[in-house]
Amino acid sequence: MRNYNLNHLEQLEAEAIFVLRETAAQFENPGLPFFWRKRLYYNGLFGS
Amino acid sequence: MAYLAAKAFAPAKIPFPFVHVDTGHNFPETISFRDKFVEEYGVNLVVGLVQDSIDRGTATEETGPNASRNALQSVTLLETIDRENFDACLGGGRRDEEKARAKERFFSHRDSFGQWDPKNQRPELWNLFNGGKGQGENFRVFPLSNWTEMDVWQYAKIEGIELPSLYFAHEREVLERNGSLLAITDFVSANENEEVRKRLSGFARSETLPAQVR
Repeated sequence: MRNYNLNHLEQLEAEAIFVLRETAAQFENPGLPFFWRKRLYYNGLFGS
Repeated sequence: MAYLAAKAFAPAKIPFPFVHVDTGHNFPETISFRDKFVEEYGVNLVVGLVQDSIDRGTATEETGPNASRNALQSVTLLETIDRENFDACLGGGRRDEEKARAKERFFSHRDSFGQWDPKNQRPELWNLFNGGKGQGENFRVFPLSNWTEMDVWQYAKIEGIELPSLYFAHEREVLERNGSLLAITDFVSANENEEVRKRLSGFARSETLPAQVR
């Protein structure tokens, strides 16, 4: 029989997709900004 | 997030535009990654230029050797939201990132000034999300709220999601300044007393660094 249980990543994916669809459904004009973070500083480096 | 948006509406196209707040100070890799994705998925792209905000006088450019346009991004973002009349902005914020994000709802209400007021936040029972709002108000929406950073990396691996090459370490020309290594780019160059060397290094994103380094 097919297994319908979702693992934790599948659950998170389903939740995120539900929220994305809900956004498209409830709002007239949604948008997705690329870089949200107020402080996305690309100036520190991690060494190796 | 972009990948999930594509997956959520497939085989239709993503029904909302992507917004890029362009500082004019970008890594070329970022722009080519953006354009490739937009082309592949037929996304409608809206660009807000930080330069326009500076020209309009709503943002003031920092000066000095460590000048950055990162702080100006939020001004331009708000102006772009205004111009395009967005009533909801999607974000990739996760509750594991820091305390200001930990308290967020999936649908986070903002008043007409873009302010977050705890009394205006909606209860989110089971999977009921309330997007009711007044004129001029808008929402921030965080579909990845319950993910952890590890989930993101594992998911990207399982789904074979292509990641920007900037996320990974490469041999780069770097210089040391104030105890941190900076990569030589179009916007960072060495002073005469600084030594430039080649080294395997990668860019750290601010949320992965301890607060005192940010």
